[in-house]
This record gives sequence, C-alpha cells and structure tokens, in this order.
Amino acid sequence: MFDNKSLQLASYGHLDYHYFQSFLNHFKNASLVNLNGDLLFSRDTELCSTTTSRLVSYQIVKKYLKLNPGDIFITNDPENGGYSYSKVFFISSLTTNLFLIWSDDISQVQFKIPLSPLVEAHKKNAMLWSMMIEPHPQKQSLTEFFEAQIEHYTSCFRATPYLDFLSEPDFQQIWFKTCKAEFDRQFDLRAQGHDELSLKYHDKLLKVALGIEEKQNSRTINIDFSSTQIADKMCAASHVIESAMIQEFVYHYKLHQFLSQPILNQIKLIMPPKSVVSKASPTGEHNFELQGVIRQALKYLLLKMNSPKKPEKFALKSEAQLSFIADSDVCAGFLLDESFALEDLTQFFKPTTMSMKENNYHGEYTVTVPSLTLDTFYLYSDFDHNKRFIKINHKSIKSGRHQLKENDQLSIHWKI
Amino acid sequence: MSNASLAIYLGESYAEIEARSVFSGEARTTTDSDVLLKKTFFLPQTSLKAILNQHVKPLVAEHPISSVYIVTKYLDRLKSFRLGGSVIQVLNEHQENNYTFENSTCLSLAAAALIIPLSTKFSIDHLKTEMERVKKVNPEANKVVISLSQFTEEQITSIENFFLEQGFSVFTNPEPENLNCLRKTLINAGSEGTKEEIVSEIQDCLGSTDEDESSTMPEIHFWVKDQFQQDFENIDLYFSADQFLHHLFKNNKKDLLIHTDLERWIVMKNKTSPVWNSPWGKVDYEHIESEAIGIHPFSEVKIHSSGHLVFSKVPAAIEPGPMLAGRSVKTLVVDAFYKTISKDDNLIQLFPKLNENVLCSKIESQFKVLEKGQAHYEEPFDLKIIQDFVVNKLGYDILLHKVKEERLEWTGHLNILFKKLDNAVSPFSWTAEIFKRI
Repeated sequence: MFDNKSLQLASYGHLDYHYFQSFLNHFKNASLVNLNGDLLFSRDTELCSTTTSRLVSYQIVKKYLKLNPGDIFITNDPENGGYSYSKVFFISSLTTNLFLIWSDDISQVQFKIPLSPLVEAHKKNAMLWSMMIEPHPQKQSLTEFFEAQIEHYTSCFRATPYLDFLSEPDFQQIWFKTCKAEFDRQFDLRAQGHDELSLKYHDKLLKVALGIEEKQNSRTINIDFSSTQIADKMCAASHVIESAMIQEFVYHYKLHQFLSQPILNQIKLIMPPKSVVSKASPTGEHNFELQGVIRQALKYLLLKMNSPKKPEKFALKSEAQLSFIADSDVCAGFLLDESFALEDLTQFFKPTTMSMKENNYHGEYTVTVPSLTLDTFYLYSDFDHNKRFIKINHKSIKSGRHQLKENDQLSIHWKI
Repeated sequence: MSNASLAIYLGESYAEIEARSVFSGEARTTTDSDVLLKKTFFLPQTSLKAILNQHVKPLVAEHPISSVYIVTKYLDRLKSFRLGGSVIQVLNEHQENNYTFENSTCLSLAAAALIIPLSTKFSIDHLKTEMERVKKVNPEANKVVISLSQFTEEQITSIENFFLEQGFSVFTNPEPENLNCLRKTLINAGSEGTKEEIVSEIQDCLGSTDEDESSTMPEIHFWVKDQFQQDFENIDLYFSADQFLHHLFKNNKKDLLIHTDLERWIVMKNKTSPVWNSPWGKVDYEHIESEAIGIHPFSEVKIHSSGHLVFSKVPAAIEPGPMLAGRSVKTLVVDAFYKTISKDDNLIQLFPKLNENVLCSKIESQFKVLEKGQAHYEEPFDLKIIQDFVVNKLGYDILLHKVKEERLEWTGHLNILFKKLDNAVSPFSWTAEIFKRI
C-alpha cells in the first residue's frame, strides 16, 4: 500500500525547484507566494506574461478581502491587476502561509469580471455561478473551464504533507537563500555595464536605459524609462510592462526555476507616469504590443551587452495575436518573429490558398459565416511590413476589433 | 509437436518475449511447464530480428508459432524525428504544407520537395511527369498521401490506381479540408516503414514453407484500443502500450495506475482525450491520457556549469542507454539503483553485465566523481542522497494525484525501486499480462 508517512520531507537545496514544478504542473502561468506576499516560485509558459500582474492581484485581494484556505477569488479586470477580459486570474489560499495565484485564457469571456469569490470554503459560489455562467450562451465552455480550474486547485490542496512542507517558514528561507545564490552565480557569469536604446513607436519616443552593476557586493539590474513619452493614447499598467521585462531577464539569466522574491528585489524599474506606463486601458488593448516592444528592446540591449560582436542595428519586428469569434466558436493565432501558429480556421472560412514555402506563410480565406469578429493585437513595424501583413478585403489592418461578413476576404502573409 | 503462441512487448529500448504451448480442447490452467521461453533484451545491444532468430526460431520445428501477440511502444522512437522522407503528397494547388499552419515549431511530417500539386483539370500524363520529377528527388519514395478536395470520386480513384500500379502504398485523407485529419494520414504514411519492419522481421523468422512450397505465416496481432487486432491504422501503434496498461488497471477496478518502467515513469487515470498533441501537431485521435511523474529514469545526472548536481531536462538517448547496459559513459538516474537492479532476477537478464564486478565498480566510482565535482555545498549529494531524492520526488508526485490507497495499481519493471513507498509492489511482466488477455 502506498504510504505517505514513508516520504521524507526535506529540502534538497537547488533541486527543490523540482517540487515546485510538479506542484504547478497543471498551470500555464502561476505563482506561489507566502503570507508576506513574497514570491516563492513562478511558472510562466506563455508569451503574454502575467508574472507581476499575478502578484498585484494577490495584493489587492489581501488588502481588501479575507482569503482563507479553500477560497478562490477571480478577476479579469485590466484596470485592477488583470491583462485582458479573456485572461482570468485566480487568487487562492492553500494554507495560512501559502497562496496560489494563476491565470488562464478563455476566449468566450468578453466581459469584465470584477474581483469576486468563485469558491468559498471549497463550495462554489452559487450566486456567481447563476449570474455569470448559467445565463451565458456558451455556458458549457465556461462551466468546463471553471470546473477544470477548481480541480487543479483541489489537487494541490489535497497534497497535505507536501503543502505543510512548502508552507514552513524555515523551508521558505532555505529556498530564498538558494535562489539568491543562484542569481549571484548567473549574474557573475554575464557582462555588466550601461547601455541605452532609443526608438520611435507610433511616432513617440521610447528610450530604455539598462544598467547592470555590482557595487559593494550588491548586484542590481536597473531599467530606466525616464525619457520615454510613449504613454499617451497607448497605455498599459506598470505590472504588465514589468511582467514582460522580468521574463526577458529570467530568460537571459537562465533563472526560470529560481524566479522568486530575492531575485525580484534585485531588479529596479524606473517607469515615471506617462513614460511607458500610465493608467491601464479598460480592456488592456495595448498590453500585447507594448509588452512586445519592451521585450524586443530589452532582448537587444542584453544581447548587445553580452555579445563580442556589435549586433545589427535594432529593428522592431512585427508580431500579432488574432482571435476569431463567431457565436460560441473561437479560433486563435500567434504570428511572431520566429514562429507561426494559427488554429484551423475552416469553421469560419474557406481557404483558397494556404501554403508555406521557404518559411513564407500565405493564406487567402473567404468568410463562410454570416458574421465574424476578428480581435487583433498587432505590434506593427515599418521594418518588415512587406513580409508580414494581414489584410481584410485587400486593406491592411492594425490593432483593434474588425467585423467581417460572409464572402469577405482575409489575407495573411507572414515570413518567419 | 504442439503449436505455440508468442507474446512480445516491443518497447522503445527493450523487448520482453515469451512463448507458450497452445493446448486445444478444454481450458486448462497455465503452469510453468507451458512456458517454452521467456527472456528480456536491451534493444540497443541486439535487434528484434536477432532475438527471434537466436531464441525463437530453434523452437519452431517442435512448436510452430501460430500466433504472435504484440504490445508496443517501439514507434516512440520516431517521435523526435521528421517523418515522411519517402512520402509523396498529392495536394490541391496552393495548399502546399498547409498542415504546418497550426504550429510552425512542430516537427515536419512530409518533405516539401515531394509535393505534387494538382488542379481538378489534371491529366494522368501530367501526373506521370510530376512523378518523374519527385522520383529524381527521392528514388526510394514508395508511399503517397492523397488529400484532394473538390475532386470527383472517379478522379481520386484514378490517382489512387496510378500510384498502386507503381507499387506505392496509398493513404487517402478522407477529410481533405481537415488539417488534423491530414496530419493523421501523414503520420500513418510516415510510420508505415517502421510497422512493416516489425511485421516482416517476424514473418521472415517464424514463417515456414511446406514441401509443396505453400508458406504458413503466423497471425500477427497488435494490441489496439482494448484488444489484440490484425486490422488497424499505424497511428494506433503509438498508443498500444498505453491502451494495454489502461485495460489492465481498468479491469482490476483501480482508479490510478503508477507505471515505473525502464523507459518512463507515468501516472494514468481513467480519462481520455479526443485530440493527440503529437510532436508533429494536433491530430484527432481519442486516447488514454498519461502524465510523466518523478525524474525521468533516463535523465542524465551531471554537474552543471554552476557546480550543482542536476538532472537533465531531456532524457538521454536509448542508444547506448544507461551505464547498466555496459557501454555508456553518461550516468543516468536509473544507474543510481544498480545495486537493487543487480539483485533482481528479471532485470539482471536485461543488464547481464551487472553480474560483473567491474561494471558495478565503474558505476560506483562514477557517482563518486559526481560527488566530488559539486561545488557550493559542504555536504555534496552522494549516491544515497540521489536515490532518496528520486524516490521521494516520485512519492510527492503521486501525492498530487492522490486517490484512496487501495485503488492504486503499480506496474513496471522498476516498481521494485519504490518498495519504500509501497511495500506491496510485485514483479511485473508484460508478457504474462499479454497471455492473460489472449
């Protein structure tokens, strides 16, 4: 018989990340934090990063609500820690010193969910269920989505001895020490210095100054957007921008398994109001492209600082996120610099051309349904607009919501 | 002289074979005396053909093999490769490589240079010209996938016949506009060679020719879905072992299966998924879900550039395999358990070199090297700590899938490593389970 008691609950130093990875295996984007709000572990597998947004959501719940083990709160409000309507945040308590926050996507949700209790003391909130899910035309999709999330939470909650172990302050301190040591090691293996990059996006100046230095045994990474003026009509919340930057650093320093509070504490971001951040837009409509711009700029600066050869001049590359919605059906696509992913569109379109030759993806589609909505988040660049474009009835489109009707033509051309 | 049946588990890295006499008439209980042969082999050091010739063929004169029953995971070997190097695709014009639209990062399923684009106004002469062109690119091409929409049935039949006359294996996509279905057809075509290799090796070895020159071939059954079958699609063979394990624990009325084999450590629930996220993209294929747990038995144990002891994220290749097999210089997770493995009667057959003290000393000293190579720790991880971590990690992962203890089934040749977690684990044999299901 399988016996829990024979398990030895002990820290194995840097190998402890295996435990966290197993624990969060069913989540695409998730964080574990302790009662102080210190990040213990972060799992981020998607391009639209929510690393810091999850921590902000947790802080909002902690400040205004009481979160007990067995409770799950949800929100998707881009003006209050969220990202976009289709990305739902779940804020939960596992023990009194261990909190699980995660986000997941459901395209059928195109309305705002203010911070609300989904589950209280392990019981579904009947009122929320009856108001939000029951009357929804895609009730089944929503039910499956939320029930799957609750199941993921429950499987974590059930692993009692494991949970108790991860909640122990002593274990957490050992883990933080391990993460900090790993950061120091990776930091020392890479170049230090100062550099900056200026570029124009939508005719506004974006200036990123990056400083990586060690002073008096303290290793810090500074990013300064003081001279940037992009946040005018284009705006995003600071946690959205921070999330993208942190993921770029984590990638550069190979710290995926160790991202935790001691590492966050070493990254200093200077983002004055109206620079690159501002008040969040109500639907998060610029989040994708602003994250993309910042990610590309930072990646270039880190590469330049660490490369023995001078890299080519910086050029912004187009990226697009597409969501096709008709009735209860949704299809999505991500068109990026090095990859192309588009779900099967034949339920909405008849493809007349759909070919890929020498990494040139070319699709010509005719709409076959009476009405179709295309939500586009588009980081548009003049640099590659001849190689990458999306057209509706032969006219190029940019970010925003586009309505298509039967027999309209959609063209996608994307070179990777 | 009595007929015999042969059970084969053909894994990615090892094979288990067992031959038993077949008794006609009233049912009788199998006893040890019915077993004519039972052996396990580590495949990188031999091949199915060699095993059959060396161990099974000598039995055939006395006990002709009438039926062969196979459970396989052998096709997993293809999962890290591009498929379709010898597959011609006949597609509508302007639909070249359309299956890649879903995800450009997936592995390729067909060679772009072997595409024949056709319009509905095609002629057989045009097809001949195109055939000559692609044959120049790959003269070995001998399979074709036909995926054409808006063509009449007569047109498709004429194209199929054209290729059949040229000696091609023909795979026609029944739903040309469904990319999941196209990928499935391409996988069927791309896996044909491997399936044929298995079947022909068995037939070559076990088939017999009578005096009147009529040949007798054994019936070859693969485990597909929930029974042994002779008719199936090649894609079914990717799930043969999983479906077999599912049948095993479902019949035993258990909720959860822990399978700790030489090749993988997984947990399986009674849950199916309608779509397979294959290495080549999504495919409509209902299958039983399984999830990796613990550290992969073939993960390499090594010292990271930071001075830490780590387990590689990607498991080592099955060739040359672990140090246990005697040829590898890489230390794998499974090597950490060499002492337990060397004391197990079944596993020692798989790794006979463990009988030699030289190999055991070599493995032990390799772990000493890993211990000394670690920086940053006053107490580096020795062999004992590595073993404890691997066992505990698996235990933690089982906890995350926790069900009532009595509803848990534990299979796999390496379950003996985890007696600390479950002292009731018993030796596992694929072929014994196969014979229960014939």
